[in-house]
Amino acid sequence: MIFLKTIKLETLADLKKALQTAIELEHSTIPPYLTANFTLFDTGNDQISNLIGSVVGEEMLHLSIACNILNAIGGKPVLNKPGFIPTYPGPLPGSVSEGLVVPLEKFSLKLIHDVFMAIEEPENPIHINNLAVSPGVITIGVFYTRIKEIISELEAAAKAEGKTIFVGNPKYQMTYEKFFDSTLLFPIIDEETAKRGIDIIIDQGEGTTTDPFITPIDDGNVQELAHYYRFEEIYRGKTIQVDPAGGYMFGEPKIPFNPKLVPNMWPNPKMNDYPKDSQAYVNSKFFNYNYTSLLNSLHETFNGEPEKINTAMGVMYSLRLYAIKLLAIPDPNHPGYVAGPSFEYVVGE
Amino acid sequence: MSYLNVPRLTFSGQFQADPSTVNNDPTHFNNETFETKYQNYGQGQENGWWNPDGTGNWRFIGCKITSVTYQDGTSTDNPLLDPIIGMSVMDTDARTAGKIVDLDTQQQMVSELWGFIVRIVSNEGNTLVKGDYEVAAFTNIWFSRSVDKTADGAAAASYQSIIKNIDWNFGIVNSRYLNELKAVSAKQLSIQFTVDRYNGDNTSAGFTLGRIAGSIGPSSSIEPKHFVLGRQLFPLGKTYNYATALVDEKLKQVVLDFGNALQFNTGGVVKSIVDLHLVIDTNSGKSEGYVDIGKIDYASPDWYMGTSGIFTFPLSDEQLNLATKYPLAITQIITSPKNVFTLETTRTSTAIYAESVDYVCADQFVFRLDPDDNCKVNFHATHLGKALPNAIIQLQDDTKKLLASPPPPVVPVIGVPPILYFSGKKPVEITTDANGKARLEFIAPDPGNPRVYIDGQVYGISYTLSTQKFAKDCNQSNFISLLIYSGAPATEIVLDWDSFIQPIMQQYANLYPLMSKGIFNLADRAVFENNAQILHLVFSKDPEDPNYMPATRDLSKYKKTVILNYLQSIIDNTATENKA
Repeated sequence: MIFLKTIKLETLADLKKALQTAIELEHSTIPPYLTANFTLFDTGNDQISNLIGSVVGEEMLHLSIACNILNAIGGKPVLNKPGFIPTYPGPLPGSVSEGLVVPLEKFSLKLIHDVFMAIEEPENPIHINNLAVSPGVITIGVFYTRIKEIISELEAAAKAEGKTIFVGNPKYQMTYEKFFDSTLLFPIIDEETAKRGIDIIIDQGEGTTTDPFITPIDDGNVQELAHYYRFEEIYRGKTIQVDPAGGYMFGEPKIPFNPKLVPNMWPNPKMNDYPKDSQAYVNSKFFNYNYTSLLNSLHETFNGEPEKINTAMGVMYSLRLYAIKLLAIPDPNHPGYVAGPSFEYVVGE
Repeated sequence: MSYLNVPRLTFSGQFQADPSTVNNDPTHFNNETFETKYQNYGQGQENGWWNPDGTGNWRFIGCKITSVTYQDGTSTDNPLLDPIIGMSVMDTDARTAGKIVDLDTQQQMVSELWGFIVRIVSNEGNTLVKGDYEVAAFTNIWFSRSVDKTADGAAAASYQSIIKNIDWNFGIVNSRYLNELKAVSAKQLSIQFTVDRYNGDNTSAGFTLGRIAGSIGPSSSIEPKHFVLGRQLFPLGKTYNYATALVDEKLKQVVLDFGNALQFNTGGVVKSIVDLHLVIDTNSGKSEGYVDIGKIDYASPDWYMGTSGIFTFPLSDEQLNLATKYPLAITQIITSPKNVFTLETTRTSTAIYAESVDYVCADQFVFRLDPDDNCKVNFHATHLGKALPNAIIQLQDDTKKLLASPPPPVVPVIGVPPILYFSGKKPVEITTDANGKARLEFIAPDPGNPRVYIDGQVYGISYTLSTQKFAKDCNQSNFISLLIYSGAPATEIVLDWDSFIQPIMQQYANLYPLMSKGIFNLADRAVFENNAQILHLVFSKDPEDPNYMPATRDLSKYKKTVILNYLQSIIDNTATENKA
């Protein structure tokens, strides 16, 4: 389970800072999920790949909601600074340094269990008990709940003076009905829509305490598991169903994992670890340049040009092609392994 | 004004061209005979050639500004004098890379750049100038540029176009050059570059990369975008390639672009250094009539990458006067001892280049047309670089000669049915106006489906001044390439998945394996329909958008319309189902 550092959340400036952290946190899960997913390309594991892909899509949704809320209160999301991408392996943005170390690795059931499920692990009563004895940390769920609370407090205070904290330019709100149902990604214009957006983030990530499925209204009326349970399905190789005897059970159809064709990617690649005169370096640079272009286009999307989401979408697709090329190139430093995407921010040539 | 005018900058570095090569073979378009091995690396029809996993991407890599020339004709390559020296020339940093696209599998010698952005970027990574590269095809390709290499690696070709929709954002940079450039040419810029020494070895670190050197300068909307209204220098032998010069009467200079002219050898150095001189030919090629303008000095090892092959020669009043009246030429001077006993030598001048005194060129020379499109081709005729009025330009369909097919195995027939407009006994004629301009206009016919498994038909239209013969007097790259798509079939057909959409998508899946395996297998009905939203988005984009699909930009209007309608019906049905 991810534990975040306790944050001061009292003022509007604190709220903006927390939302920027939320954006960075939501983004930070995408490179490890994508890396694992890229290594499943053309390996006969489409079922698993689609499950991971569906989580990535929702992390993008969460990032978008966080950006919309920040824009709604007159903040400026920043997605294109060098530190925006965390260092892998390492802790996720905002999390405690001794917490979960997240790597960029090829797909494996161990990675799913030890890292992906841990990232998405929901808060349950036992963990809440633990929290009571470690006051320096909060869960992601608590983090978002506190953001909701401070939004209510600040908005109440503003209203008492006849004002509102929702002073952002409504034209900056990004919606994208081609991919995200309008019940999921909608303009954030007031306290109600802001809190509604956060509920979607919490529910899609963690589910509720009694049901592994996302409340349909929080998922475009689709019957879908919360992230943690989607990963658990992959780990157990079975699908979660309602148990006729009550509760839920793992059962058919199976979700088999065939490791045979998964490329043997050396973990946590770094562009500058590759010799400059190697195909691995050249293609790593192309990948990183393209990833940086993606962040730049998202930055433009959430800073006044919401229609640029179409451009960002194009870069996302081409990113996959660069990754596939990298995964076909031998790692010059590690015989028996292939190169892989490093997700590094590059500027200049 | 063009890149040979001032203010001008030069840049050099590398480029990436990553086209898919499965489609290099026309027979690979035939779904019925296609085999998966055609997607493998390997030469020959039985394989996918050198880059079957190509993305189509086209990029600038590590390009740096090497020199600038100011309004007053002075130059510098010192970053202390102008901070723009050493800055980068880059492509996009916020969208998909531009694409390099062949016109057709049966005309691969005019590859165009689509959706390409050009930026000048400071050393801190700030974009100072950004604009859209107007689609352009390469020209003046030759395959004996680099004698140490083979195939595409030995070739060189040049691109010339304009940069439009420019954002200027250099307030914080104190560059005299940028200030002058914006003052002179804020709306559009001229850009030219030569690409060579391409690496097509898929086992090499430099695979898909090559060398690039070029320049950027002002641009005027009344001048051609894709060539310089200047002095056209034609090589007299096969070891040199076409060059262009511009006589700048105001600055009293001749500017010579020698970027795509010389042969290179191992290490990217000039093959042989000889004593070349730019001269004025005052007596019809007789050596006593040569008036020397200056030595073409390319001996420095960094000459090419440092200058992009551009020379500036000052002219005296007398030289300027002669240069406007007589053709230019380039001569080689050979100095040899008279005999072994004396120090006396003899100097002989041999012409290496001669100017094509009268010249005609089509500004855009590659066209993708649908039936009933009105094709407009703009020509400029010049005499010694100045407008040539009342000149007759003759055009004829020369497909068979210009777009020669490789030897058997049998490839689809090209050039049939002939375009009626060009198929009279006499050539089509147009006449230049007072500004030396003329426009050809014709309506594209529907070629039907003569190539069976390849849409539409390709044509090559040659043109000459009426006083010239194409084979003898013209630059052999100067002809018009047409791709005319097929219209709706004459007989009624069912526009459903199985009989219409699937075969089109199967062809793309066959020819672009990385795309079909890595993103969407378009040939799979479930994949196609599940991704109807995104596919509708990319198929309906402006072709100048780098995300336009198909990246090869070879889909007819008719087929595109059917596909978009099909996708829209999927989207509408899904929406209805969700509501229900």
